[in-house]
Amino acid sequence: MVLLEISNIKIYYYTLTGIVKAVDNVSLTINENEWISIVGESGCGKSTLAYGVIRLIPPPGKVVSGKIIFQGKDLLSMDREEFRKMLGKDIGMVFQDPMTSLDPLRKVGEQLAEVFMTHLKVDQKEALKYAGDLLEKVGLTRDRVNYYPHQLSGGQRQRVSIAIAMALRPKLLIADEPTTALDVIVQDTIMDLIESFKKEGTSILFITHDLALAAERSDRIAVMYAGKLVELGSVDQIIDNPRHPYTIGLLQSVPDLWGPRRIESISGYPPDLRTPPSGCRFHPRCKEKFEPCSKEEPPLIEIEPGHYVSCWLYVKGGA
Amino acid sequence: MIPKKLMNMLWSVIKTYLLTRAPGVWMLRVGVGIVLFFVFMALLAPWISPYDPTKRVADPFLPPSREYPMGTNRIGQDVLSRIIWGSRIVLYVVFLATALSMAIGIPLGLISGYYGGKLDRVLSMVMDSMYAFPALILAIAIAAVLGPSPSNTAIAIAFVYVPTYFRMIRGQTLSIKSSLYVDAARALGASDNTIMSKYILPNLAHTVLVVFTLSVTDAILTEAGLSYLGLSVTVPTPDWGYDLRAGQPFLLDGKWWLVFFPGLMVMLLAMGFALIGEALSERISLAQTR
Repeated sequence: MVLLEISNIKIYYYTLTGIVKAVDNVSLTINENEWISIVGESGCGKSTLAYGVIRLIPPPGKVVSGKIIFQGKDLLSMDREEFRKMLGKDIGMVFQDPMTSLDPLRKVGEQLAEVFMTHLKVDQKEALKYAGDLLEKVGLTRDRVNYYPHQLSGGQRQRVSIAIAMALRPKLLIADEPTTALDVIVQDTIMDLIESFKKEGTSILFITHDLALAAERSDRIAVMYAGKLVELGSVDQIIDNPRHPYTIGLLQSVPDLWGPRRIESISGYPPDLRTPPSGCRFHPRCKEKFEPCSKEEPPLIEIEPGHYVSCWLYVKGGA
Repeated sequence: MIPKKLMNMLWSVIKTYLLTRAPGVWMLRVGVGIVLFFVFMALLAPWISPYDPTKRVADPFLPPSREYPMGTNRIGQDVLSRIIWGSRIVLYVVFLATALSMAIGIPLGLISGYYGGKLDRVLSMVMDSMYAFPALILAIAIAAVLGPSPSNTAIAIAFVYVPTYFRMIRGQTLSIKSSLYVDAARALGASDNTIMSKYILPNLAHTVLVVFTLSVTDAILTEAGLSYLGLSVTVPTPDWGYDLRAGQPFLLDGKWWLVFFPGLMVMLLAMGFALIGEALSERISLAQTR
């Protein structure tokens, strides 16, 4: 069953030097109890897309058009107050930097209690009790409620952030590079924690630039490039049978123990999104570009069941 | 419960700021000492003042002596008693003024910075235009309209310092509002009021503290200035600024004590607050860059 349906969404930043088309016409659905990872390099719009779902695009950014349907309700046209009541309760979010995503002046327990006090209208004493339970659930001891964020390590803080996001067992957890600031060992334990919530029925929208990390636990992977969705499919389809030249390039740039000694890189740089290239946004860096690539945008086509790619190579009969 | 919490807070403030070996802590100690000296002087005035400050107690123009340590004035009132009672007026006016300007400036700055938009532009414009007037001139104009009384003086001074608080708070709010933990608070469904009162306001405390001590210093001088010009108290009430003016015509006759002591008090009190403000802003900016 479909939980979240993002259709044709466009998110632009109206800066003084031009309109930055950070997310341009992206469609994506997330099913219930599914882990979907969005992979892409810095500035490809993956975080903007996540912020768009929770309506926290910072100005001068704006959702220009498109729809985000969550459990049958359109999030974007929803009343501000009504949407606020859904945040934290139906949709949880974990941010990238655990060092700054907690208020430095308030104890961990108070910040956790905030969720219960906001949504369940319980008093602080009861909320603090729930907060203790929750800390145990994410693998910290109960007495951590009395700690300030600076007394915790990065991994512990990220556990607290996850606890806050998952406090009311939302149907959807959005995680924006939750492990980027952590070392690999801690990263793995955090991923285990997120996976444990998935087993309890939560859907995960996982944003990362780490293809290997995405491949490890996701059900499906979406690859973004320069504000566009370029390829979407199950983990096996993306990793074993990548079709878009960008995805192929990404996979070739990952070192492989049994692979070739020389690691291939994608030449060039990602484009300036104020003036994106015409046609396919990847064509200036693409090794296989041909005639239609610079002229017209390739459509997103299904080349095998569940595997979508946006590239002229796979369009029958060309442009 | 609450008094205990407050005591703990007070103690931790004393511990972190006064009982350290941090460089510059002497400034804070001296400043706090001076301010406490005047606060106790004001509180204990009825007991420590040797004479009634409004009554004639001796011949006029007696120079300082054992009996009248700061001499007597033109009417034969004891200068020391007038100075002790005068500290009440100064502290009352100055604290009322800063409390008022905080009560207006902080919420307005917070709302303006948080919501932004048209409201922010209008408020900023109003505050900037108030800022454009020289402080003393503006205070004189307001005090003249309201009439002479310590409370009105406080209102006049408060009016002058509202923009100072507004600007600082607005600027800080703008920077805190874009921090990740505020986003995180939004993402868990916190309302605007919760975010402002629980997430932004506590993080503004150190800014408020520094602006407070610096604006108090200014307010003391402004109060003295206003009462020097006769815009603060009515005649028999003891007040440093007023006494300064009353003694000034006799300065050239060699009656220095009429001017010297009130002037010294104004200077000392202002210096006390200035030292606290200076030390705190140094400590806090140190703490932030560390």
